[in-house]
Amino acid sequence: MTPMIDIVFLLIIFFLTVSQINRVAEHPLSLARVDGVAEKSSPATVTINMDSDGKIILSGEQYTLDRTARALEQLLGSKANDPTQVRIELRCDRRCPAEHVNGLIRQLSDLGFSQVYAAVAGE
Amino acid sequence: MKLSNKRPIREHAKIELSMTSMIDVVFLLLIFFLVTATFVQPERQILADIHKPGATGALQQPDLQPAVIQISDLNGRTLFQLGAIKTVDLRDLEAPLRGFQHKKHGSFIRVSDGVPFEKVAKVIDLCKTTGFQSVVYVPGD
Repeated sequence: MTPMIDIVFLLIIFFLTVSQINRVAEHPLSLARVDGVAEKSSPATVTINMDSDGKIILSGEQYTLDRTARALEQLLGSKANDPTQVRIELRCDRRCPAEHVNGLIRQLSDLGFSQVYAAVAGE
Repeated sequence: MKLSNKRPIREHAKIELSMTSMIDVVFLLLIFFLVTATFVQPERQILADIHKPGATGALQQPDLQPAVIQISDLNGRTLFQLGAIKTVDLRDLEAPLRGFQHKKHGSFIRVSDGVPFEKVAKVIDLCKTTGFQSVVYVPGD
């Protein structure tokens, strides 16, 4: 009986842990679905979530565009002001109007970033 | 009469734990977590370059004729424009994009306000699928 109880407890601990940690950086969003050549998701330095209303969520907290820019500026400072060392992932809801994305992209451009990885739903 | 303060020692005294109740609870917990667990949807990424407003590139070179796709909102529908081609069906742009010559210079997507991000993602994906090495995101006015 003991090994079975061990396994059952391990499963419980696994599900408890996974349910707690899998959504720390990632806000639940309905991502755009594409069926082309999107590459496998890689870890990003910073993940910017944008919901269907254009609200920016970083690490579970809502940010304004200005505050996001300041946070990114601080992050850049810690990376010797080298934008190539910062991998930005934009997790944007598929229904989000482009004006919000445009505003963010302009800010990123002003900060010197030249690339952004957009998260999409895929197989 | 002598009273002994010693407790009577039972022979073969044995502590037995009833496992049944504990296993019941443990299984209930396991079933609960199995049922309520939401499995993470697999995600992928598409890389987009960010347009620098003052940069000189293919977009500013008139002799190169870069692929510039204008995405705009037309009364709730999304309009895609590539040169003279205007369409609401993105599949209409696939053949013209495949036929483009200067693919190594990348393509440009100019996104107007009001367009849902899903359409933008689909255009970026189409450009990559049709062989463009890079896709530059140009925020619309």
